[in-house]
Amino acid sequence: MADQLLSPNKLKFDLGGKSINITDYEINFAISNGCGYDPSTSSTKGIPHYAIQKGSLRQDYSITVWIIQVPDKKNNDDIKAIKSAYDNTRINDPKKYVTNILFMFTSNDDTIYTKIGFEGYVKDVEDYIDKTGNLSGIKAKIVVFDPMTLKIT
Amino acid sequence: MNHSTISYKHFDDAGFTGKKCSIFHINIPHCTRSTTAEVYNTSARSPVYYNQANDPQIVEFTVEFIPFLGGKELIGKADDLVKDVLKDKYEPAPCTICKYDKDDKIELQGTVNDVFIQKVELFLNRSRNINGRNAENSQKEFIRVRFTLIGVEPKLERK
Repeated sequence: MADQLLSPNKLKFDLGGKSINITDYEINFAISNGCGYDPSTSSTKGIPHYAIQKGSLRQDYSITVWIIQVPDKKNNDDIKAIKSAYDNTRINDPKKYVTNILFMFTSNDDTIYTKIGFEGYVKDVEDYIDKTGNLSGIKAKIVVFDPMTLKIT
Repeated sequence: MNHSTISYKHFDDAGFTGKKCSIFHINIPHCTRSTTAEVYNTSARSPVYYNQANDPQIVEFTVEFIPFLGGKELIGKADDLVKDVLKDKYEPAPCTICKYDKDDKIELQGTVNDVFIQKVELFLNRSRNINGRNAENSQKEFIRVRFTLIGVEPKLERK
């Protein structure tokens, strides 16, 4: 039997306990441990010797979601939810705008295969009209507030 | 069919094997050994002394996997592979990369000693067409997991 590729078809996006339907997404993570080789010469053997220098974890990511507005305005609530989450970031107290964010990648049969969850907030919201000039929507960037909460399972 | 394989203990233990994922991209580590020379010639008449040294034999290379539906847990394990390196008892392992020709014989075999994982990059994008954002026309993307590895003393054999 031929193997099936894991394709990112369905994504469930949960912002502060509220499920939001998104049109498109780009989620990229880069996790590095900062370790490397330190060239040093072993004095006893006189042969090249390499020692591992351990570093610390670093998380880089880019999370962008898109919502295209539909003509019957069914998803206006979703757009409003993201916009109000963004407006809340102007408050000084992080407790008011940092929420639990969860991305659930599922197969077409709704089997969850990856969960990415963290405490984060909506950093940036941009209204846009696509190239054809026919569709309008929003583009939102989401960032991690507390790196310790990031869990990829 | 031409194909490449990678044999590395930490990938095998975590399940990055042919059953659960496929290799999308692999590069052969830079395996040349060059010499750096330093020449002292303070005066034209004086004898010329020189020192020479080998460049450090440290190589970085990347491997990119595309998981199958049967390997759906691999994405969650990928970041653990990076975090495990920080443990005191972590042991680097040798890594072998083979490129096979059409007759399924090894054409190129590269070995790197004491390899450990430095970085993992997860690409979970729905579409490759970034500017258009037109879901209908865009090319479907698949999930990719890219590892950056580092090792020492690479050897390359062309058979």
